[in-house]
Amino acid sequence: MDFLKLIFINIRRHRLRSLITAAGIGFGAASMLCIVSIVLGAVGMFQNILSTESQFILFERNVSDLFFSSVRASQLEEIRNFPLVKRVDPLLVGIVSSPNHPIITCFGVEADNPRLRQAHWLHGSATAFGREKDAIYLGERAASFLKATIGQEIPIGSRRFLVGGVLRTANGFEDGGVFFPLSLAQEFFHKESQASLATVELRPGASFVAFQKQIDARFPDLIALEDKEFNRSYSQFRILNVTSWAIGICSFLLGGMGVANTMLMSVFARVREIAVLRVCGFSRQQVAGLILGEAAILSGLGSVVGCVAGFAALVAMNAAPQLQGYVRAALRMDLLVGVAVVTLATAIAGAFYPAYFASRIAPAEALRFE
Amino acid sequence: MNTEESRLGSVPAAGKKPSSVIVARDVWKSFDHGQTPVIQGVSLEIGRAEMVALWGSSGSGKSTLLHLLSGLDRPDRGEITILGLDPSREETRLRLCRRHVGFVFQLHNLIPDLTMLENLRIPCFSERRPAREIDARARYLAEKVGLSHRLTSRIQNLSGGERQRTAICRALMNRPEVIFADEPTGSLDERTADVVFNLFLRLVSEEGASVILATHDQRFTKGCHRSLHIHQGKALPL
Ligand SMILES: Nc1ncnc2c1ncn2[C@@H]1O[C@H](COP(=O)(O)OP(=O)(O)O)[C@@H](O)[C@H]1O
Ligand SMILES: [Mg+2]
Repeated sequence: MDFLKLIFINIRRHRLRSLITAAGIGFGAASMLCIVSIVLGAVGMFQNILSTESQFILFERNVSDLFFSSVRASQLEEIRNFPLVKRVDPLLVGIVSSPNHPIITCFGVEADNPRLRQAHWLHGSATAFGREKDAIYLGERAASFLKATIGQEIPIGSRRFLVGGVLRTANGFEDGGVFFPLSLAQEFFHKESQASLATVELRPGASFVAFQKQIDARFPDLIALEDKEFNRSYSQFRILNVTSWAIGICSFLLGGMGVANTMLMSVFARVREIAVLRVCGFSRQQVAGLILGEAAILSGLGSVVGCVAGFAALVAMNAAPQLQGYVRAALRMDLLVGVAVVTLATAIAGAFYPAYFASRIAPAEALRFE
Repeated sequence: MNTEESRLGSVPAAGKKPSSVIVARDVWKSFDHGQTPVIQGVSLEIGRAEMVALWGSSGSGKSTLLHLLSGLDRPDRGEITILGLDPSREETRLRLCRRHVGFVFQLHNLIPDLTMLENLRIPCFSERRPAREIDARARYLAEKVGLSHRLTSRIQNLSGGERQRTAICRALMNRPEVIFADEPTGSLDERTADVVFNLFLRLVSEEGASVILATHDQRFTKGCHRSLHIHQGKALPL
């Protein structure tokens, strides 16, 4: 007699219940995969904005959000003259509304900022940046949702600006944003002689530690973090990460309880059959194995289907032009495998008590009611 | 029977097989924390290939005694050995169930969505025996009860009599020394019950197994070597 067959007859016997359980697990796996991928994708995009060829991000110490950070032009000037430093690129970040668009992200950058050169200019060119009066430059997606093109005048906040060009960048956030010459942005946001942050590239061979020490000594109100340090310590990323984990754990708890419930029902409905198996020489462990096996098959099925569905949803999201930029999910194999494994583990944990219960069924008691 | 030896659950020495397959000494059992006394001091011995009926009215404690004698339940007091082994130890009980004892219940207790053959394989699940040998045994028994043509039918497609005959085959799959039968034909109509019961007795005696049969019907006690009347917690010779 085949152990698997004994498991499968019970799954087949309650097809609908099995299907619902597997689907529940599948939804859990799919949503977990989507949430984590989107968060990782968002964090990844944000990191991209900050680091082009730079190694350091320089910003105000103890701010919770980079939008509130402020670095003075005079400080940047001094840092530019550090012997260790090759280049410093200030970035002023601001958010404004226009009549139909509640959130437009604005980036104030200097004309020689490398990201402008690296972008693909659909209209206009990097060389014109900052030379025309009151001109701004739109990311490709911003141009499409603002329905604007080169040479047009458009309202941004309380003012009107001339569209000086349209560029496509490698980064979703930037593509949905508006680039200002730094001085224009400073004036527009009333942040004269300031930037939100700066990215810093050191000269080849320069010591990272020495640079950080120098910043600490000279500007105690600033902090220079290596890109990967920043990713770890920036509180917004931490909040996102913790949130996605919390949601994930909750969905797994729900999934585990669903499995526990299903398997308990399955055991209750089969007390007599299990008792007969015990009479036919099945050990407690073998009986528990039947229940755990059933849970493993259901959750395996659920997690495979869920992961495939979640992955497909993510691919579709990444391809959808409407979401371009805001949602760029990280499609990662390790994540897929991780979610599948955790789902399986949760299901088996959920089946633990039912399996224990089944293994304790007393044959004499169970066979008594005839 | 050396009681010390049986308490330790040791295997009887080879060649010195005990003449009694089951020995019970002063067995007591009550339920609901002593509120419902059911078995009150039963002692008995059942020999090799002996067929013993436990006869009594409904509720007299036949099933309870059968469960105790087969090791499915434990007595409050007293000692029971099966083939010289102590069935109160889970390991021993498993070993007995896998090789030495078989059960037939009032309800067939077969798995309805498996075929007859698949059901017959279940008692052999934990024994490492070649599948071919197991299936040959199933075919042999099926033929004996006239169900060769039903081996690949699902239980849900069998009649009541056919199901009970399948249950008898299942009990005999591992060539057990003892069969415990609790009202094995209790769910069948009278005519079918007689046919199935005679088949059961014939097959079991061919196999040389001992039988302990619980029944409330005196018709069936006649086929047995000996009957015990279960009454007020005692087992008295009839
Ligand atoms: N697990 C139990 N809990 C409580 N009472 C029980 C239990 N098993 C049996 N009994 C009681 O023991 C008595 C004998 O039951 P049983 O052995 O099934 O009788 P029979 O098989 O002779 O009809 C009955 O009164 C029954 O209610
Ligand atoms: Mg009974």
